[in-house]
Amino acid sequence: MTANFFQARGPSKKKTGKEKESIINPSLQPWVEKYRPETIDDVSSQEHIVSVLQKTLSSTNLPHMLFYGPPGTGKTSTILALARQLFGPDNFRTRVLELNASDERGISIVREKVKNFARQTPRAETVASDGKKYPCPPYKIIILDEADSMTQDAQAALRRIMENYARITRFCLVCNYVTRIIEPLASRCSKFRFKPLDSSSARQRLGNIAAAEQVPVNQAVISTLISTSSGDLRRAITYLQSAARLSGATEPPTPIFPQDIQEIAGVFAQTVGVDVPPTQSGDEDIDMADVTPLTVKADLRGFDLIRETVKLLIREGYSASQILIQLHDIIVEHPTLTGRQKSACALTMAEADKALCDGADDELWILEVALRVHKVSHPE
Amino acid sequence: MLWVDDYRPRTLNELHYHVRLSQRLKSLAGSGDFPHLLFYGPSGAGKKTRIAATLNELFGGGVEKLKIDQRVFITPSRKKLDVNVVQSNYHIELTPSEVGNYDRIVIQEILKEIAQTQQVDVSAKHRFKVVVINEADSLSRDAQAALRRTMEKYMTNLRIILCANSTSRLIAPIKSRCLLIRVAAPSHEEMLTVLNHVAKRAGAGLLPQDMADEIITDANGNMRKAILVFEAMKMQSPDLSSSPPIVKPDWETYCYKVGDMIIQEQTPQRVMEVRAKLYELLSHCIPPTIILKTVADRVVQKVDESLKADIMHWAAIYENRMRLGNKKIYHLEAWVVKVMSLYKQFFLGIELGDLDDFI
Amino acid sequence: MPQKASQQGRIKHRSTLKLDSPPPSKKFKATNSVMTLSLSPCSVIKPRNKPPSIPHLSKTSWPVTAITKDAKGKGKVTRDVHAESSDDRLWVDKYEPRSLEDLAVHKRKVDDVRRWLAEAFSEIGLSKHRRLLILSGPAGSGKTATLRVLAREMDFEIAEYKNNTNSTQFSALTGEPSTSDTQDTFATFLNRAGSYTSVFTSARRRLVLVEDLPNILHPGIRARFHDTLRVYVERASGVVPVIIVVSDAGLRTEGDSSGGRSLDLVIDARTVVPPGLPDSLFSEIRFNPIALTLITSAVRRVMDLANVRLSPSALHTIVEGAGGDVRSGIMTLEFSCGHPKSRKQSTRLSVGSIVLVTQREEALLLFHLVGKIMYNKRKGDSPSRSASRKDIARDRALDQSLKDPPPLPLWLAAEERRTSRVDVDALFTSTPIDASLFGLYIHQNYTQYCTNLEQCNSNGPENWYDANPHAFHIRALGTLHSLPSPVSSTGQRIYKPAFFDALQRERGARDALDYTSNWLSSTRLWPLVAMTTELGGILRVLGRRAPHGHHTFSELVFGRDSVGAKAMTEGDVEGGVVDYDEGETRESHYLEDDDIEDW
Repeated sequence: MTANFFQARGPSKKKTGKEKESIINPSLQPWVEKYRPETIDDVSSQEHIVSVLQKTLSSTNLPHMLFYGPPGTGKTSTILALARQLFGPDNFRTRVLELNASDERGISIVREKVKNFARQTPRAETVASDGKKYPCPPYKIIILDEADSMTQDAQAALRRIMENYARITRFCLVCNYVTRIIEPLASRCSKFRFKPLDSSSARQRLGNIAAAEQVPVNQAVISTLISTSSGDLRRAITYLQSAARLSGATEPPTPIFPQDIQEIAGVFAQTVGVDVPPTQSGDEDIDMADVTPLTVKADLRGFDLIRETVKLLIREGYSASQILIQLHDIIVEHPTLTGRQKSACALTMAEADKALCDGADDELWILEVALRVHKVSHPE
Repeated sequence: MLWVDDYRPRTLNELHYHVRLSQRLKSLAGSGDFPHLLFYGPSGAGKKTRIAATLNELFGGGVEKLKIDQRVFITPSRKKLDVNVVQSNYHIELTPSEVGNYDRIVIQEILKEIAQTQQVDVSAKHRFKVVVINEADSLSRDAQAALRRTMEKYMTNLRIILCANSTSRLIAPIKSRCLLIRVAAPSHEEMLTVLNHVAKRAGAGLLPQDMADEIITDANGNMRKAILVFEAMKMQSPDLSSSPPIVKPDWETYCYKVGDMIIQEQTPQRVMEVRAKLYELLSHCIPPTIILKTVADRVVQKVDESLKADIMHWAAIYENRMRLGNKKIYHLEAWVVKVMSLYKQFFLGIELGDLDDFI
Repeated sequence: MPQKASQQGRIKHRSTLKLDSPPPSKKFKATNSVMTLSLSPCSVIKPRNKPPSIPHLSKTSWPVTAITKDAKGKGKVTRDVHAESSDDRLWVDKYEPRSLEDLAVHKRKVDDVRRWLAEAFSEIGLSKHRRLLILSGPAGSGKTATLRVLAREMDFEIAEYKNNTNSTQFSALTGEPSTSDTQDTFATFLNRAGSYTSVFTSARRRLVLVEDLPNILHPGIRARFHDTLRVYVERASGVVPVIIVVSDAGLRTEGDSSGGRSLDLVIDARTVVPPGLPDSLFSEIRFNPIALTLITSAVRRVMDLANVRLSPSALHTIVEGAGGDVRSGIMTLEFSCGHPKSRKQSTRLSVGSIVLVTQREEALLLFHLVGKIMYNKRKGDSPSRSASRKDIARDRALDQSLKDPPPLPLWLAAEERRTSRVDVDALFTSTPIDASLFGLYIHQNYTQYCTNLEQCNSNGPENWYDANPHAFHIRALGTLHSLPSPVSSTGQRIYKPAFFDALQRERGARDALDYTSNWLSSTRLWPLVAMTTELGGILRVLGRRAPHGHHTFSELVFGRDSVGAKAMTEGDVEGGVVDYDEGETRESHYLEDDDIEDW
C-alpha cells in the first residue's frame, strides 16, 4: 500500500528532469557535465574519430554508429557534441533522445519510447536563437548508452526497430565491450573505437579545468590523477573535483597533495605491496619491511608472513579489486620475474578478479593471489 | 542498552581516531557542496558511527530523533516485501540487501519518494535529504544500476551515503559518482584509547593493561567487538582485577573444534560427523563464509607449512562456489573432504617415503 | 465432498443436541444407521454410546448455511437426507470425540483453550483482549475436535465459515482471481455471524470458527482478509470471538535459504494475523503432534465403538504410522478394516497390509531410488547371500543385456569401472522428487557407503549446482562413478536429509535475531553479521536479561548438537514431494508425552 502511495504522488519522470535543469546550481554541477566538450574538436585525444566525424558533419549525412572503448574516453561526450553541432541548442532537446539501457529495462519500453519519439516529425529551423546556422538534418538521434548491458533478445529486437525507423532516426550505440553487441546489430553501424587517453592530452584537459575552477594544482597532483584513473578522464575529473571540494571546504583552502588524490581514489601508497621476493628486488621493488602503513611482526615468514600481511591490508580497508590492480602493475613491470612467472601470476589474478566479481570474499582471494604469486616467484 | 550503543560518539568532534578524516568530513558538511559518499572499510572500524556523526554535523541534533518503520513494498509479481527503515526528518537509513534480489524495487521506490518530497523542515540547514544505504556491497547489479541513475537524476533533493565493507562488488559508475571514504580499522593504540574512554564513562574503573591488550588482540581491529567483549568481561568480574578469560562467542570455539575434528581423523564417517556440526553452525545463522574462514584458520595453524597454501586455495575456491550455488552445506563439506584428503595424502607421503610422482 | 458434508452434518447435529429431550423417533433412526453398518466386514455388533444423528432437524438451526448459498450448500442437504438411510460417514466423523475423556489432546492444551474461551465469554475484564485466537499445529492434532468438545461443555455454538468453492475454482481458471467474490463473502459472513443474533438461537453464546481460509496466499486476497479481520477485531464492543484454525501445511520450499526470507509460501499464524495487530488483541495456542499413547487410546476407543479387533502389533503399526495425526490413525484403522461397502469378512489384518495402507508410494520409490544408487550394483557383482535363486537369475539376465564399455586409455585407468546395473534414465523417469531434493538425499547418505576418503573426495559436490538441467543425471552418474563397487555392507541405513531441520532452525534463529535487533536498540540497525558473530559472549553473560530466544543463534555447545539425520525406512510415511518438510518436523516430535512449552 505504501508503494501505491508513492506512485500516486510521484509526478512523471520527465517533469523532474526538467526541474532539475532549471534549478541546478552551476557550482553543484559535476564537473564532468560542466566541462563536456562543446564541439567535437574539443574532444581530447581521439583525432582519428574526430576527423571522420567532421566529414559527416559537413555532409550532414550520419550513419548509425557504434562507439566502443574503455570508460571515460569521451564516447558520450563525442556524440553529444556532434548532436549539438548538428541541431543547435534549440532543436537539440527535440531531436536527441538519450536512453540508458540498464535504466529502462526491457526492450518494450525502449520500443515505446523510440516510437513516440520518432513519431513527432522533425521541424527544421536552421537559424537558431544564438544567431548561428545549424545544418539540422531531417532526422533524430537516439543515443543508447550502455548498449552492451542489453540482452541478446533486446538487441535483436532493437535491430528491427532500427530498420523500421531508419528513415527518420539515427542510432548511436555506446558501449564498453563491442563483443557483447550481436553481430547483426554491429554490422549495421559504423564502428568507432575510442582508445584510452594519452597522458599529455589528459594532462592538458585536467590543467584547463583546474585553471577554470581556480584550483591550485601542481604537476605531481595531475600525474597522480592520471595514474590513479588509468586513462579514464571522467574518473580523473571526478577525483579532481572531490579533492577540490575537500581542500576548498577548509578555511583557508588547504593545498592538494598527491596523497589526497590517492586517498580519494582508494589507492594505497605506492610502497605497499604484497610479497614479491625481496631477494630479487630491483630498486623500486618491495621488501616486506617496506610495506608502509603496515608493520608485520619480524619473526614471521612464509605462509604466516603472507597471511599476516593480507590481514593487515584488509584491516586497512583497501578493497581487493584495488589491491589486485596495483599488484598487477607491480608484477607486469617487475624487472626480474620471467615471462613464464608473470603469466602464471596473471592467470591467478584473472581467476581472482572473476571470483571477486561473483562476490567472493576479499580476504580469501587476496590471500590466494598472494600465496600463488609467492609460490611462482620462489621456485624451489 | 549496551556500551557500544551508549557510548558511541555522536559528533565528529567526539571521534577518537582518524582525526584527519573527521576534519575532512566536517569541512565537507560545512561547505554546502556535499557530495555522495561511500564509506568503506572492515567491519567494526566505525563506518556507521562516522556516518551518524556526519549527519549530525549536517543537520544538527535533530537527526537523532529516529523512528523505525516497517515499510511494505509490492513487487511486480505481487510479492510482499518488508523492509525496516530508520528515519529522521532529515535522513532515511535502510538495508536493502535484506530483501535479496528484490533490492532494486526498494531502492527505486524509496529514492523516488525522497527525491520528490521537499525538505519539510524549513529551518533545515540543507535542502537535501540523505539516504544511508547499509551493506551496499551486497546490492544486486540491478539495484546498483538503478542507484546509479537516481544519483544523477535527483542530485538536488538527495544525497546518498553508502556503507560497505569492500568496494570490490560495487560497479565502477557508482564508485566514480561518490567520494570514497576509507575507514581503516583502528590501530592498537587507538583502540586502547577508546577502551579507556569507555571504561571511564561507564565508571568501570581502570582497565588493566594486559587485559586491554588481550581484548584488542582478540578483536583484530573490530572496535565494536572489543567493546562488547570488554563489557561482557566487566559483567563477569565487576572489579576487573581477577582478569577473567576473554569471553569468546560460542560459534568461534565451535569452529575451532570442527577444525580439530578434521585434523584428527580422515574417514567418510568423520565427514558425516563434521557435516552435522556444519549444519549446526548454519542453523545458528553464522554466515557460511565466516564458518569457512574460521575453520580454515584453525586448520592451517595445525598443519605442515607445505599444506597451508593448498588449504587456503581450496577455501577460496569453495567460498566462491558457495556464493554461486544455493546449498552452502555442499560446498563447505566439499572443502572439508578436500582438506582431509590433502592431509591424509601428506601423511601417506611421509610414511611411504618418496611418492613424488604420485602427488 | 463426503467429508465436508458430514462435517456440516456434525455441526448441525451439535446445535440440535442442545434441545434437551430428543424425541424417541431419533433413537430409532440411529439404530437404523447402525444396521447398515453392521453389514460391514468388521463385524460391528452394537455400538455403545452411539451418537444420535438427526440431520434433518438441524437444517433450520444454522444461520451460516444461509450464507454459503452455493451449489455445494444444496448438495449438503441432499447428502444429509441420504445419510439417514445409511450412515457411511467416515469413522473419523462418526466416532468423533464427544467428551473430554475421548479427546486425544493433552489436558493442559485443552485447559489453555478453555481458559481463553472463558475469558472471551466473560462479561468483564479480559474479553476485550480475547477476540482472535489462532489454533495452530500439524494436521490431525485435535484442534477442531477440542473446540467442538468445549462447545458442548461450555455451551456455546459455533458459526463456521466455508469458502465458496465454486468461485475460487473459477478464479483459478481465469488466472486473475476475483478477489471481490471470496473476500466479500468473508466480510459479509464475519459481519453477520459476528454480531447478528440469530433468530433461532436466542441469546446463546457463540463464536466464529474459520477453518477453511480464503486463499490468502494471494496477496490481494490476503490484504482484504487482513483488513476485514482487523476492522472486526478492533471494533469497540459486541463482538463474537473469532477462532482461526491453521494447520501446518508443508508448502515450504527450500530454495529461499539464500536471501529473500519474506517469501510467504506457508500459511501460519503470522500470515493469518493482520500485520501490525497489537499482541494484546490476539492469542495463539499451538497444538503439538499427539503422543503415541494418546493416539493409541483414541484408536482403541474407535475400535471399541466400531467393534473391531486388532492384534496388538497391528494396532502398534497403525499408531506408529499415524505420525502424531489422530485422524490419519483412525483413517488407517477404518481402511484396514476393509471398506464397509465391500462385504468381505476379514476380522484380522496382517501388519503388512496396514503398512501398505499407511505408506505413500512416493516414499517407497524414494527409498528404493536412493538405495539403488547407494548400493551401486555393477555387472558381475556376486549375488548377496540372501538372494533367492530367482533374483540371481534375473541379475544374470540383466548382466547379459549390458554391454561392456570400451576400454579406457592407459592414463584414465583409474576411472575404469564395470558396467553399472543401474539404469539412470529409468530412475529419472520414475523418480518422485526433483533433482534438488534428490541431491540432498544423495548428499546425506553417500558418505556411509564410501570405504575411504578419496571416494568422498571425487564425489565432491563440484557438479551439484542446482541450475544445471541435467543435475539429476550428473548426480546419479557421478555418485555411481565414485562409490566403491561393490559397496561393503556395514549395516547402513538411508537417512533423510538433515537440511530441512537445519533450515527450519535457521529460520527460528532469524526470528530471534529480529527480536534481538529490537531489543538492542530501537533506533539503530545492527548489521546482521555483527549480531550473530559478536554478540554471543555478552548475551551469555547477560543471562536472564538477554533477549528472549537469543540462544537460537548465540548458543552452540560442542557435542550437544541436535542435528542428527533421521533414518528412513521403507514404510516411512514421509518423503513425498510436497510435504517432505513437514515430514521432517513431525518425525522429530515423536514424544511419549505431549510437550508443552510453557515459558
